[in-house]
Amino acid sequence: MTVLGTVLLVLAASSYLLAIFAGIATIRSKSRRSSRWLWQYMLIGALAIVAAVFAMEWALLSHDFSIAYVVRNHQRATPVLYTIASLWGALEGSILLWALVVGVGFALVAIRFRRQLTDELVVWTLVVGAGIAFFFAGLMVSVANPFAATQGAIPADGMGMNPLLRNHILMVVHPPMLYVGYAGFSVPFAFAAAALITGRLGEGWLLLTRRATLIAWGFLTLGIIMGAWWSYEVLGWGGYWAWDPVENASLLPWLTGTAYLHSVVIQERRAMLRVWNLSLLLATYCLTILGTFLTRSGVVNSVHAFSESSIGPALLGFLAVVSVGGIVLIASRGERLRSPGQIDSPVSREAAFLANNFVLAALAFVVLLGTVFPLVAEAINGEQLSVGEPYFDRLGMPLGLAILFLMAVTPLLPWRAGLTQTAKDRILVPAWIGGTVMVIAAIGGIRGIGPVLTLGLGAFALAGILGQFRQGWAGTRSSGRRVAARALALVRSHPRRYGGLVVHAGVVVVAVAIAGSQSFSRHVESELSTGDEVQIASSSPFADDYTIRFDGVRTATTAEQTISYATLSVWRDEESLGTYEPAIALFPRAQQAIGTPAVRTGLIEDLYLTVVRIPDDQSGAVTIGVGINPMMLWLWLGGGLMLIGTLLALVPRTRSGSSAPDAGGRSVQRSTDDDVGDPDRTVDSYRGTAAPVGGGNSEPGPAQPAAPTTPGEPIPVAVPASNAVGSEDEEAPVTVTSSGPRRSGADASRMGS
Amino acid sequence: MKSRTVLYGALVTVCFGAVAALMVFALRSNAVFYRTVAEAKQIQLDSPGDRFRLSGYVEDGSVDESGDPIVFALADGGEPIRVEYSGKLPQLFAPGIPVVCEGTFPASTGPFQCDLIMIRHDNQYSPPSSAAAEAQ
Repeated sequence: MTVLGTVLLVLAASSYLLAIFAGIATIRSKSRRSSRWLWQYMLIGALAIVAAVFAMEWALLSHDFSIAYVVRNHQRATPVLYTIASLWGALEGSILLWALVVGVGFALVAIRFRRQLTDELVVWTLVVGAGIAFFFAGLMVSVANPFAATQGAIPADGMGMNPLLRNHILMVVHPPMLYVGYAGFSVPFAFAAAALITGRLGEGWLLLTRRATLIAWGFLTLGIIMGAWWSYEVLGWGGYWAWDPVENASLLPWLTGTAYLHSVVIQERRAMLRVWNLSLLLATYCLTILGTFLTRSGVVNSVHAFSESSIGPALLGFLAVVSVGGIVLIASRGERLRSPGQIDSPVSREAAFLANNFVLAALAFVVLLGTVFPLVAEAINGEQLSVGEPYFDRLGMPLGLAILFLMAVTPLLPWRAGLTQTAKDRILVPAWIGGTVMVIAAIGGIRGIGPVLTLGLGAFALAGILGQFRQGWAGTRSSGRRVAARALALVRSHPRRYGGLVVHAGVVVVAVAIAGSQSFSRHVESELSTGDEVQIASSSPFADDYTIRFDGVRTATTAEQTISYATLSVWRDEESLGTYEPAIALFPRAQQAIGTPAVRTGLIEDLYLTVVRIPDDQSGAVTIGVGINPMMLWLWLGGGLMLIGTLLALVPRTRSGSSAPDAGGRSVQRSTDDDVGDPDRTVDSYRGTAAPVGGGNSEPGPAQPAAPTTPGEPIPVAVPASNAVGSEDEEAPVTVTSSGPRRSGADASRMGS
Repeated sequence: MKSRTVLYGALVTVCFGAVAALMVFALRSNAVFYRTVAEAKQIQLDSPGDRFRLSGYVEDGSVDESGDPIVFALADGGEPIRVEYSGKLPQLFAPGIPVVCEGTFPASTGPFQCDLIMIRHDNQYSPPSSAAAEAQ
């Protein structure tokens, strides 16, 4: 298996290398033959990596201890599920997973664009993708071979995964989610790089990658929320977020990626911010590599980080190549990137989007600085230091509140125009609701400016979102269908808008939950002998006290761990809530103690019970931690809402409902909301429709003719002054000159579906 | 149009300046340095009151859990430092293990007042049957 696996990896690395050559040959000769080679090498490389993943899984499942990785990360006694998860339990395997996502991602790109393989944009995208995949395959062939042979005698059994990673089903799900998110950004990055290299800097590549970006972002979001849930519910660290360097590493690309998702909309509509968008995407991609570096090179001490390895310098080198290359490319295209559009009013929606971008970027910078500052300081003067949580909390809170405010206001502002009367009307009611909630909260005894503002701004945002939905809902009335059909029609009329609003609602719920849990949590630790009780006050106005009685310790010992359960009887006021058994597992050889909390989840607050210490002496007394964590359930529900919103945004768009669209409008919507298209179209025909994207969204923007453009030139965006400013009606049909009889046919068939 | 560009530019610059100043301030007030026992003694003489993380090994036989605060001593080869901690000790706390204590010296003499103890454990996990595998 060692040989087979290594051969597969070498095969993958060499096919990607050949793909790069074939791609360059295609660009130089424009020959169909070399483009076919490129296509084949991309697929062979991906297949080789998929096969290598299967080989590794097979080796793990069949206890093949001739492979060092299997020895270090697997044990015969490990259940099948965790055995499968061992693939990403340590360094080499997780690089294999990275390569898998990259390989499969670009294979999908190759398949989707198989008819346009001589198009320079596609070829360069594949070349960049092949370069990325080659890097990771090469990494495995050289310094981090997951199939490296065991040195010396082959042991009868392996060492098994780090126990921290072995105690919950989330180990099977959380890392792959993050990896799909991380590595998934490779695809939009490659398209952006291709756009820069070819000089085709219009909005074409944006539209092609919109869906891929959203999917990567969705997985990243899910991965982060799952990680928070894991550390809270399973590992018993008492919290869901500790500003651990590795947690920060996952948040950083999320922040820039979120900024990108928003600023892209401005570019689509107004052809503005081209340099900024490319920079954001570049930053996002660099931050995913930085995140991989932080977690996989051993520079930081964290549960996620593996021990030191030689992979660090390689990843740093890759990071340097990507960032320097990206900056040079952006700089060299500076002339062509000059945006034809500009912001007309400081209170327009695009201006608010821009402000949102600044705040998100500032937040990313704050987190980045706090994360890498200790590393930099140590590198410069050898002093070890740690940046405390107050740094992140103090700077994060105002920026978070600013984001919340912008989230409330932005969707209600019109494009281009200033604060029109309609916009004022739309904002007024939600703003009053927000203000009222703030006053009630302050009178109702909520102390602290942070939570009060969070509640008020959250209510403001939610009211605005509901208003938007109500308005849209009214627009579906004439269809006279049932609720489900109307809801579907509403979402499909503009998936990104309504999906985005649902994501926003999720963010509001998450923000309120964070504010609540941060501001009103309590925690006591007390030493209890059998029969002793401890009391803690509830944070809820409907309950008074919890009483926790310690009834003794129950111990389960296995070969490698001793788990001690503390049996606790819990009452709230006079009502018995049953028995809870938080535990602590000791791994004598690992010098690790892993707590498992017992959590009573409630709508208002969680009761969070942990074992702090069970002393060795036979006194029978234990130290129990009792926490009251308000609103935790809402954190997870908000995360779920964000997921649902992302899925809604991915729903294919149709034009149905009250407005009677014409064929032109439809075809434009199709081309704007689907990054997939008719495979027979050339990429340039996507570019051709890029310009009128302004009209593609359901709100009327400047409707522009789809001017035929030649490659290498920015799409001319003429902005007719007459039809844009102040137009507010969200459901007005958009007429756009459209192209291509083929697409009309495609749309007709979509209508039937 | 020109003047508006200048205005926006100035606005953005001011915003960034404010954020940057805030960040530097917050970083400076929240960065906690790791100090060895020997360095800590110097700090106690030079600038008592500074908050830092003291790392060392728990001295055998120095732990007194009977009172509040709990008292123990940290050493790293040389003369130990007396540490006072008012809280509950974590599970893995034991004589001889490496720990990190965050806190201050309130005065130029007297014990180190610590309010946070972290166990510094080896990141590399080695399970029971690892003896054979260790060879690789």
